[in-house]
Amino acid sequence: MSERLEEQLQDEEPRWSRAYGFVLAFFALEILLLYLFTVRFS
Amino acid sequence: MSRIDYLVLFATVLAIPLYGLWRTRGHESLGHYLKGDKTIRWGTIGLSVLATQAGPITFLSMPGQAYESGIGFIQNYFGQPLALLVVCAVFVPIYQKLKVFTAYQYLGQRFDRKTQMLGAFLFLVQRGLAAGITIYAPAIILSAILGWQLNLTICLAGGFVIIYTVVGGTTIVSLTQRYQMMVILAGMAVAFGVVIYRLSPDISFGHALVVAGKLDKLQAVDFSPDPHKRYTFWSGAIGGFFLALSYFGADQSQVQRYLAGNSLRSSRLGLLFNSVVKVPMQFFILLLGAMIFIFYQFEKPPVFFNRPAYERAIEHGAGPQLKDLATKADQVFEQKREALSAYAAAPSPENMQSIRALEAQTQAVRTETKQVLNQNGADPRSKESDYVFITFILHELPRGVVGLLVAVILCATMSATAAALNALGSTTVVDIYRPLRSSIASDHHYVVAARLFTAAWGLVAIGVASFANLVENLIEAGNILGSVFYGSILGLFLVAFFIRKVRGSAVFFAALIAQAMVFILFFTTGIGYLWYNAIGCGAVVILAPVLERLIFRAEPMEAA
Repeated sequence: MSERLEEQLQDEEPRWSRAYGFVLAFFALEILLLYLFTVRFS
Repeated sequence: MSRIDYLVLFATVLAIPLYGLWRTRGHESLGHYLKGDKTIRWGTIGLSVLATQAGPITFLSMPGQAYESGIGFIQNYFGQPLALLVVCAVFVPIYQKLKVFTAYQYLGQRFDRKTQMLGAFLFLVQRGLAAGITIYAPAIILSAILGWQLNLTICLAGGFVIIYTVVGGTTIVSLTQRYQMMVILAGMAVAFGVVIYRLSPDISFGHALVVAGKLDKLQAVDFSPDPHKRYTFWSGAIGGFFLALSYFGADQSQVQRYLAGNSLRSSRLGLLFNSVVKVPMQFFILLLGAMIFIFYQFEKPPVFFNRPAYERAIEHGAGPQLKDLATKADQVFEQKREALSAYAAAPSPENMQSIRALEAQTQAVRTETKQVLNQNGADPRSKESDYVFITFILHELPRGVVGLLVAVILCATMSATAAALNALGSTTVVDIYRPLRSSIASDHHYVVAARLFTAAWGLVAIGVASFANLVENLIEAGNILGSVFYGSILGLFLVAFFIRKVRGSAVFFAALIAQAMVFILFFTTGIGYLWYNAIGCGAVVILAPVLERLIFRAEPMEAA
């Protein structure tokens, strides 16, 4: 079972890296929007 | 509350656990009881993780926090998305590969039994106390405002959760949290819609944002490097990162949520869902508080939101003083409302200056009122801002919706408490009871033990709730407690993952020293509490290799 999981992990790694990249980009966008919101309304 | 509100309240609060009990009937293995079954998918895991973290304090206190201090609290969540990515990439594959029931089992496999027990013990102390606060926090406010008996509220809310968590284990916790979170999100969206609708005759949403900004309620990001400021980008991004990493990586109440379902993909997707939605969700809850602040610039607010404390002060003879202050507050409110109407019609810097001056007068009257209450022994028992949202719910929302929003608070209490009890029971059985037992026992034996320990922890939580008397804002109490304990726990895990040469005794004593150091700092300094996570964790990571090299290097390797 854990060998299968190892294989699965290796096969899927590029896809997960892309998912993490998307989440990071989304988070950066959230911070930027909050910063712009602060500048606009303070 | 009207009859229809009570109907909505009880129907919502009872229906979800009853459905959960029906869905999870008839499962008996330890694996199923502690880790759930394969029908739990990533959406349920995502909502379950969200519900476990949010708790009643988020929905009850956070709008009040924004009402009083603005939306800067959002920065506390800035470290969370990054921490969740680390948990997805590092923690989850290890837990799934080793097929552990609890996070601390991994410490036992990597180090030794005493380190496993130390990690479990720190978690049990912290989470046992926090579960009590989770029940106490809404109970004190609901009982005060609705006239319910405090101990009865605590026992009913806690008792019901104990029953369904003991019976259904992890599967029922995840399942009920999914529906409870849906009710919570719907209820908060309705509250947001109502406040914007109620503002519309006086001021547009755009103007409301401008006024809230000018009155310092909308500073979401503050780049100040001052470590004594509670909410800054840096304390949120760095301290918040360590808090979130400890919480999601090493707190069994969360680990159990995302290991439910036994699939690596579901665990990761559930966590990524949280890293995307958490900051926007908190933003809207805080913005709701800022909009309630604007609403109460046009509708007269109570002089003091904690009405029961106010009435106690009147009974203690402070009536004349409070009446004078109320008259003063009314006069300032009328002047401010006129100034705001003038600003809404024709915005000008002069108008805003007079609004700011009048707002300062309002705050001065509130401070004076608090002083009168304290002088007259009307102990408020929790911060006034905690009463803002519930006051708005009870006085400004339509019938039926009031019941829904009170149900939101109780659903949040039940979901967070259920996750905590589930984790406390599992950890006690897997990390304390099973290692200490000399003979081998059947799966059924451990399921019964897990149920008994879950019930026992429920009673402990009710006991803590019955004797708790909070000195800080309810949001702060939970986070401070977590920050004091989490650093050392996270340090144990980071050493386990990344410093291969360190063995059990070195990391064990490093964690003990780090925990003592955090306690000393907590009681002797005034630094922002989020930093304790980084300090505790950093101390373990630095001390463990040093102790290994200087003291424990000569020891023979222990069998894992």
